[in-house]
Amino acid sequence: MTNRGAAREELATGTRAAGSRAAADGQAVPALELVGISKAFPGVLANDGVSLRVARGEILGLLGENGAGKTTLMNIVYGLYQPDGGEILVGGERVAIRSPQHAVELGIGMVHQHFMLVPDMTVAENVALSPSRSPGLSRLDDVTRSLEELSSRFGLEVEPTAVVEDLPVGACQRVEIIKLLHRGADLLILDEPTAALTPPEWRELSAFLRSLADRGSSVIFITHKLDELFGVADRCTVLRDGRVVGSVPISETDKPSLARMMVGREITLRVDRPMVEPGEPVLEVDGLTLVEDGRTILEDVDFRVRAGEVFGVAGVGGNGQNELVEVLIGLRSATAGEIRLGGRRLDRLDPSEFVRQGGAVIPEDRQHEGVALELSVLDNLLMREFDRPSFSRWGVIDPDKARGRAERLVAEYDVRTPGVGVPMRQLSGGNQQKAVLARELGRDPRLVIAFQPTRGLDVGAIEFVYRKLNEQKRAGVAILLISFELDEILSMTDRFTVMVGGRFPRVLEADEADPETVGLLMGGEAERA
Amino acid sequence: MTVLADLGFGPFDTAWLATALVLTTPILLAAVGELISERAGVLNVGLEGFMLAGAFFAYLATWGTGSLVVGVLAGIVGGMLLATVMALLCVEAKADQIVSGVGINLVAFGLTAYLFDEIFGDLAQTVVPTVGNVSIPLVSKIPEFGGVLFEQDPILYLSFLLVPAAWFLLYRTKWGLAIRAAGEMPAAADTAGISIRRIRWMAVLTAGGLAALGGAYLVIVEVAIFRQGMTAGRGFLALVAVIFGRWHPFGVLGAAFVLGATDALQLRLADDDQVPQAVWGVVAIIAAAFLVHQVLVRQRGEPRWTALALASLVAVSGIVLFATTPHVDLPSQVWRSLPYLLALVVLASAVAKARMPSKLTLPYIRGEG
Repeated sequence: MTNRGAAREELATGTRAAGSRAAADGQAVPALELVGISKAFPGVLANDGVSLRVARGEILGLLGENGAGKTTLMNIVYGLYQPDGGEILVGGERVAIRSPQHAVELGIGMVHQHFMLVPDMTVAENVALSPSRSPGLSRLDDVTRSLEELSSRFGLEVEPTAVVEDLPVGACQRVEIIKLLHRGADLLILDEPTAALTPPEWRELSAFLRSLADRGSSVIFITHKLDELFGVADRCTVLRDGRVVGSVPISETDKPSLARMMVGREITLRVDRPMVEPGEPVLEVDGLTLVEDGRTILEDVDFRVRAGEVFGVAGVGGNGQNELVEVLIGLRSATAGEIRLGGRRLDRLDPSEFVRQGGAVIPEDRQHEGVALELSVLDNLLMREFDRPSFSRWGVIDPDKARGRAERLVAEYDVRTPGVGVPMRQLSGGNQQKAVLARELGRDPRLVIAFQPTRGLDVGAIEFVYRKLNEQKRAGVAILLISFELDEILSMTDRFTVMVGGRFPRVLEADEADPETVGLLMGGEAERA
Repeated sequence: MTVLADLGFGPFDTAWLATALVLTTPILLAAVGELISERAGVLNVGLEGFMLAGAFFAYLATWGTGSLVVGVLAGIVGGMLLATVMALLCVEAKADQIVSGVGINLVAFGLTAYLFDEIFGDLAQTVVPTVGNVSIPLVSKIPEFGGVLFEQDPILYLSFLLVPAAWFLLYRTKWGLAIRAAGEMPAAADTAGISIRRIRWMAVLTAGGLAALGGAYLVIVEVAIFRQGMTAGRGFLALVAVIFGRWHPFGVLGAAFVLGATDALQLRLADDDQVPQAVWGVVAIIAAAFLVHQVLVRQRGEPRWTALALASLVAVSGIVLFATTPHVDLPSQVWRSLPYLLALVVLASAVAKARMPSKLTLPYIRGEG
């Protein structure tokens, strides 16, 4: 406690000894050094002899594809996992980090990919959450005061009495960071912090990280996006298949060579957008409005998606995208407005009607809505078409025909699986998504709703998804692509809009849009954009 | 209350209130413990079993030693032993909480019945001493209510004092923060350095201890004997009280009292085959109070029209029936099932909008959220 108190004091007064020492001997004694860390999980060697070091006052980017072992490594540093081998040195001293509590005592703080905040508590209560042997008072007033002070010192705007579940993502991130500062962290680990941030929010965060490093703190920044490293990181360590591929200063490298290190081959990050002459509108939405519990979730949404066109919906998550998809596919009923698919009105609360009219959907949450994890690959592939006469007669499935169809789909969509009989759970995320694509696109739909279709996938799988969607586009299918990833919207769509507060402020042609304009639209600044 | 009696509110007098308080106590004790446990993320379907164990061991120890203090302590220890089994299953082995709880109930029922038979089978039913009432100076002399409210047994006072204590624990202490975090977002607490295992162990033991005290109360305050399955569903009523009370201490107090009061009314009317006029009146009053609450208190969101319409209907028919007092014959079974019918209605209406701790019944496994 005194340790943490002292660290906080030093941070607060801005005269942290380490900061001034950094210039003198910071190079000699790194804030954190990992030597030959290994960690195996059943069937996977997540980390294989990983060594890296972070100097005081340095921002280190930890780059790697999904499954490269970045998060496992940082969970070891944070005491959530114990390594099978290797050494951890904090400030030059060898330590065995037993628990997150121990990591906190060592001045290590981690912002996890999914926020570690209790949604129904206030900001101050979340910060006050700490181990205690006695049922001592929570002393929220003291915490509030300390937060206000930290908040003004670091220019991080937080409202101590706000309830976390009411806060937007950017604010939650600030709360996470200030929580760590309050606990006296001087080594900050951020695990893919930009997943849901708008470009302006990201600029704000990177400026803050820089100022933190200038005060002598160290930052490790996990990402698989190259863009984010440039402009904020000092150095970058690349992980591939659990091993360190290299460690280079950012000033001495460029994106293509980092990309090569990360993937192990030359990749093009650009997708070629096929030019297709759009046909008749397939999906027509007019004045769609959804009001629930007095809250307006969708407000007068109008749009058309034409055959052979990819129409994009950009925007930060939680602006009504979820609800829009659920209304379109018949899981929720709209308060007002009209949806027509291929000229037929969809107004019943009946998802099968959407499917019968030729609709296909790639849901956002693959593991909960996309596939049934415990069912076999075959069941997952055919669950939409078991009732077709080609597979079943009088409700009894013909196993040979079903197997034949499933095996064709698996081959066509390159789903890597030991067989169609194994449970979906055993497949990797990328292969699960390929199975979803196979099921949805294999039915020759006329409309595809793709909601975050590349979420959590690595570069190879992303490429695959884009290729398959573009094939559909060439075949004259209408595609509605809803994504929080701006790059995805810019590279895939022909026209797009930005969804803010349940509305579509305006539709942009893909060619006339630049990230800055879109960022402003996302941030609700339609007039400035 | 005599004022009310003069107005014709026959069954709702001070004697009814006294009985209501006594019948509320065991439900309240179990419900407060269960509240703590559920806020920490563990649902104890075995609450009934904890109560039964508490009742049996309290009876056994009081009978053996003649000491009520030893009896109460033995009851609590008995419940906590059973709670230890629950914690081993659900916190350590991460077993399914519902299945474990059902198992706990079966074990408790079978074990107490067997032991009772084994030890007391050949003996005539022995009555144990009961806890006497303590009158609190000054306030117990208040006319009408003083005697009812302030001349009760000490465990009853304790159970009502536990409510603000639980509130203070949950909302004003570090432990409270940790308990709420363990039920809502255990990963957040874990990364803050809090041991979810320890929190949940303590929470389950608290539920076991308090439920067992509630069970002991049945023996050493209410009836002075033990019978097989004597808790008769009170553990389940306590589970209902936690839901009806929306996982908040004062809500739980209100819910437990409604259930206890209904039980008391049932006792008063069990021999009656007529619905007294006052019952219709109270139904009308409660429905009207619900209407006022819905219209005035709810600040945000749309009013729930179905609920409003239903409540209005009940209120109007309550008033009409109060005025006309129709002749309706009711078998005593209807009266006896009253608390359980009420519990069903409560569940149906409260659960829809209540928000339970998000990780209730889910074991915490590091790295899986």
